[in-house]
Amino acid sequence: MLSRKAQVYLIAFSFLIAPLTLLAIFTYYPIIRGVVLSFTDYNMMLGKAKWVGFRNYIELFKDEEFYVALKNILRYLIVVPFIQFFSILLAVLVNKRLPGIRFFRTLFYVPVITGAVVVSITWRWIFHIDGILNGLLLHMGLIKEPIAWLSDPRYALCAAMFVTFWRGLGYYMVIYLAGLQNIPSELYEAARIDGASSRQIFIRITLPLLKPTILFCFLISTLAALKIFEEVFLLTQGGAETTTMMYLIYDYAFNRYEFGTSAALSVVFSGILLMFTVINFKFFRAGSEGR
Amino acid sequence: MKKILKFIKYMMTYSLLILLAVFFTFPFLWILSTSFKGPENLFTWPPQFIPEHPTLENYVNVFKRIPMARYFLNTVIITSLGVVFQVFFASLAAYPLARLRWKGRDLVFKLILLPLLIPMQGALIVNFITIVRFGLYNTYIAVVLPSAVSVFGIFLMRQHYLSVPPEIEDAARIDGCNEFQVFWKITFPLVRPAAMALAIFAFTAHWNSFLWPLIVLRDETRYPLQVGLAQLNSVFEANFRSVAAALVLTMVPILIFFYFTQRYFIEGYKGAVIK
Repeated sequence: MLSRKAQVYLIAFSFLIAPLTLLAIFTYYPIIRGVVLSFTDYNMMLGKAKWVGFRNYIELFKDEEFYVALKNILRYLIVVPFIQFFSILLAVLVNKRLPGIRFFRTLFYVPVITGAVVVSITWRWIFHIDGILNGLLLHMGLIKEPIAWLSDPRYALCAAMFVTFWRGLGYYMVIYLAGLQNIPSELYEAARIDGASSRQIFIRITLPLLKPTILFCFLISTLAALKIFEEVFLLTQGGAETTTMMYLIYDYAFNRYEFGTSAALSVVFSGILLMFTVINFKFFRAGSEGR
Repeated sequence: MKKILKFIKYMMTYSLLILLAVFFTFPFLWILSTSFKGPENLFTWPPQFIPEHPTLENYVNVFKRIPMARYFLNTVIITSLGVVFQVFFASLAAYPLARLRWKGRDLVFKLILLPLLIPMQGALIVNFITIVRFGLYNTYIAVVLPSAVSVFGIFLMRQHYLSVPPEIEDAARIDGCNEFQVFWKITFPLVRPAAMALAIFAFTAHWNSFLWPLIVLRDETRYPLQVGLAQLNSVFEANFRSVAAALVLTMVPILIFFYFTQRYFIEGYKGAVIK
């Protein structure tokens, strides 16, 4: 008969063994293997890797596209504050108790639920040279000739950013809505009795209590912006100087079959993401101390 | 006077809501109307929202040229597998981390959470190689296996398990339940809302996932909707009407699903984000 202690270990082990094995293979192992791979020339057919030292990294840093991608993901961060600002406003709006408000919430969430692929293809037709957007602008006399939104490097990335913004609003709106509904209503009542105006209530009560949610949303939308892929893949195929890190990682591995360089880029990109995560967590800590 | 002011405020709020509704849905309405359009010019100004000669030809075209029904079935299979895996493994792994007392428990939990802090983009290529090595390339399992264990899911389930009073479990143990029965019959049913929230997150993630299935699937007959759609343009070159019909067919099921489950979406976030 096993002791109780040994029994507990055995039980814990039997619950954990399958999930931990999968985590080990698909989550932990790639961290190490990815770094090793970045120093090799990997042949997919033979499944063999040849050690090449830093050659992949050198090749990467010589590639102009790497710098375009780096610049683009940093530019993409502009989307983050806009998305957060407007989705908070949206959440406040749909948090009102009005007849039919659930219906509007549903409508605002439609772009989220339809997914990046459907949304991107839809917008590709809107941005089309003969598309509805050019039609509108021409009709209103704002432009004289149609703009090639998706093939002109001046506009292409902005177009992709707009699509990200448009389809992200509803997503964060729902998270903020959940945050707003978790704020106890007694606080609002007390403030109202004390004669606070709605603006004062928003700034003094809503915003401070929403802070953890705001910081959480900033973190995930920062990472999502840096990792942008679908919009670029479907709107421009990485053309018109819109390539991003994730697109380049995909491109190196699955179009050019340079797995080693792709791995090297993954390592560099992970470093960039780590940096932004640390920055965000610093804010997180500062935020929770401020409460 | 106050009543009139209130009425004006009401009207303004609703105007704003309607304006926003148009902003978020007009691309889809445009797609819907285009999908029924005949050979007339698509890009007229002002745009025609009601087709002059409505036709179902575009839909017939889609079913003739691409295996739409197959894509749909594939998405359903992949999504179901993905949801079941994520909920099952997260519920399983979180149980001993919350409900049992053993040395090293907190260390294991911290190790599990580590990937949330370390972004690993290398996983894309390495996991592709692993899948090929396992002989799983071009299978449904390959699509769901790497994300079968959700670290976030384990975290979420553990938080909810912690709120279950231990007396209930002890009573079940005294009655002769073994540990797996306690988990399955007592503890898990008590945290079902959390499992539901996790299932919904998993559902949206898998239904909309694109990059990973694009990489690990080769045969068109295994493509989920999202990957199939992305290939549309090469099939229909410049035929926007057929593309529009395919987009509508993709959207309708998920919108119906969402209509009936939307309550859980918002509730799910409420439980997940703040705790």
